[in-house]
Amino acid sequence: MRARMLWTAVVLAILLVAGRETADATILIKKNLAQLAAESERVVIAEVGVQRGAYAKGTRVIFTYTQLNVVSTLKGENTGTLELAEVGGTVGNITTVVVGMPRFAEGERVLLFLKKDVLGQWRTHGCVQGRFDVIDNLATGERLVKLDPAMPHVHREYFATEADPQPRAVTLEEFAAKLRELVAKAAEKKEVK
Amino acid sequence: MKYLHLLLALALTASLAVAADNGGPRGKGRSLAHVVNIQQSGPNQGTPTFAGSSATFMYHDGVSPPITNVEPGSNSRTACNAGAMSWPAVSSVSFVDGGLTSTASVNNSDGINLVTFANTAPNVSAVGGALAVTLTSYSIPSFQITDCDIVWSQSFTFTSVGTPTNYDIESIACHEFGHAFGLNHTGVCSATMFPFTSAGATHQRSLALDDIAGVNGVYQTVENFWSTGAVTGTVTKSAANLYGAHVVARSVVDGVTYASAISKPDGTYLLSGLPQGPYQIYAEPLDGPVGDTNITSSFYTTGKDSSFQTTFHGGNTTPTIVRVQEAMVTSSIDIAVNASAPTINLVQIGDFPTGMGGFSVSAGGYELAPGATTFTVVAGPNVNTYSDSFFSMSGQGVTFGPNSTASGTIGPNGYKIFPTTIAADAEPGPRDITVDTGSEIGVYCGVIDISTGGTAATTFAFGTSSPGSGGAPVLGSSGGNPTLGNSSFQFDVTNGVSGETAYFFGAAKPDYIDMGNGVIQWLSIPQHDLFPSSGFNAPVVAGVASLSAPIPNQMNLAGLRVYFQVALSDAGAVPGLSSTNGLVLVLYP
Repeated sequence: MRARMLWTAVVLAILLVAGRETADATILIKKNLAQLAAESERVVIAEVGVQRGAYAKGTRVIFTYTQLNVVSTLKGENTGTLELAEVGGTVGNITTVVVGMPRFAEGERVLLFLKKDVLGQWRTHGCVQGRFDVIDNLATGERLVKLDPAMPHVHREYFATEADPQPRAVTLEEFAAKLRELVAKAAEKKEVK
Repeated sequence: MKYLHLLLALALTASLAVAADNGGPRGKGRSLAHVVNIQQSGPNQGTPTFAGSSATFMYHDGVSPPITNVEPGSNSRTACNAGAMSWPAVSSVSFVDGGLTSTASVNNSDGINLVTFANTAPNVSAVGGALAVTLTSYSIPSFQITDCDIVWSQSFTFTSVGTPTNYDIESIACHEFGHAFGLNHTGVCSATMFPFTSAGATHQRSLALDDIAGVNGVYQTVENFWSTGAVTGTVTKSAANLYGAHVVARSVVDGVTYASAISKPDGTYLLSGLPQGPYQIYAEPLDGPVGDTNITSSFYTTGKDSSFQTTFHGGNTTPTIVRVQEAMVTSSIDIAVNASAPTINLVQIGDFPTGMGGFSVSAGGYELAPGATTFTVVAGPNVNTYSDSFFSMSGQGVTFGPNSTASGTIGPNGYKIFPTTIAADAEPGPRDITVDTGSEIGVYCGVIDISTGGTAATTFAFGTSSPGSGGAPVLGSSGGNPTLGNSSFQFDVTNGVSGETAYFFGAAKPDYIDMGNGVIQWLSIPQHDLFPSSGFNAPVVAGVASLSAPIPNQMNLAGLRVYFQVALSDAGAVPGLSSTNGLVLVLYP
């Protein structure tokens, strides 16, 4: 009898305190869409252009510089092109490899959260969390933003539904609308401060 | 009386002249295990390595600028060295602490392999949002490393004194030196090369089997070459080659996850570093907690596919067992995945030792020691809606559930909590947690790593029996555990045919040889003479045969694993005999 009461108490204690998710720190600083939207200086949809490897100015660190042909701008200054930097790449016969950094292939269409780094280079904000593939649904003609199922903390709270608890893509229209809403909210918060 | 030491002597007289029935001799080239940081496309393919397999690293002296991201009282250099030294201990690479240098900033071309905690602009730019990064520079086409720098973030505080809110230097150093020694990230959740960690976590200080397999893919030891085998095959989806599947080898003997790989753009994979024995091989999508972006290196190619369901080689209902032999490659282990989009996705886990108070969950796995009693929180979309009976943990010596004690939601995920007991005699190594709804399987790969340290003598069964006319014979034991000096230990076979004879066999290693008609040989080839003249046999009386096998009291046998199986003459069975399951004896004082 006592054992059963104890067991009941244990279960109740669990039920009362369950639901707390800790910071769940990872090798990256986790960011959700609201944080990415608020902290980024620019959010763009762009086509990936040519890439080149070079040492970052004033350093001996090899970066890959990718030309982005901006299709539309969801936040920040609207320019036709910009140059994105990611650590690692090839200069001459020397290649520097860094695992887990965002990578791009010429011709891809991507949605990117961007912020300048300490060297004044445009970087993908939040590392791989700030990079989204934009693809065409050939069946419907819709343009979609792919949601990485391995990073649900970024997007699931905004796009998951009961019918689709782990969405893998949303329409660009829906994603952009949510983003504008988050950007506006972040701007409001700034003004209040 | 039959003496076990005679069987042991028989078992240990193993020849290396292994038959090659399903693959040619294994080349001594570099492994293509996914954990190797290999260039998989383009004209130049290879893995960057240190000249002479020796790496000398220097440490920034912390003078200018002073180090501010390390907790006072911590010794970052000693902790980094400890992390680095985990790799030479299991491979042919060597590590040298080259002393201090005033060089503070990452530099891909100064030829100094640097470990730096310094707050400089190049370091901050290089590390970005990560805890630490490793920049490995090498020349093409030699793939010889010319420079390798490990840079630590300024956004976190690192510790070597165990402060739970800070990040453990030795664990992260072990991970980063894994990159330096040629490894990419892995999808085995309790491995050192798993791409995530938490404040206070220390389990990534010790290498998992997958890590060891990976580093031996680059810096292989002679012993590893001769004592392990490999599996290769192609993953396809709807008849097209599938790029980016996480392919995993799980032992049929002890349920341990030994190694994993990522399928290449042509769908092929190679799992190396596997001890001899029977395995199940499965392909799972990289849809969390590890995604393909976590495994991207400088060699980026599009086209990875994570939209398929976890599928075993041979099918999910009855997976085909794969034979792995030492120094051999088992080829053509192809997997045609279920092309339906996955609905099961286990992405978070938590260790909840008291079962009371709050709990937390994270993406990464953790270690549990033999003898541990705890509660395991499993989380993912809709997890709280699955029946308890869908959940299991792989392998011997674990009790998981069977009933959950609580369920609910945590953030966007559902969760369930299961009581979990790790037996004192549980085999060490990573275990999978599986959800099997009957129509779909989801696996949380290698998420709980049972740490070494168990020293309990035990027996456990593995594999299946072939049915005879008395039913499916079962090999077990009585007289206590196989502790050294236990004179009462004996083998027992049930479901034999009275009047027939049971023949007992032992071997140093397991194997998997399909003899036809349902008879499987679970023991290594040197023991495949099923009717030895030396007389390790016993009559079957009332369906039961027993063989007394006193355990020698020899301390040098402590920790030894010996594998046994029994063949029974059976005139009523189609091949004239039936066979039992395998039985492992783990010997300890």
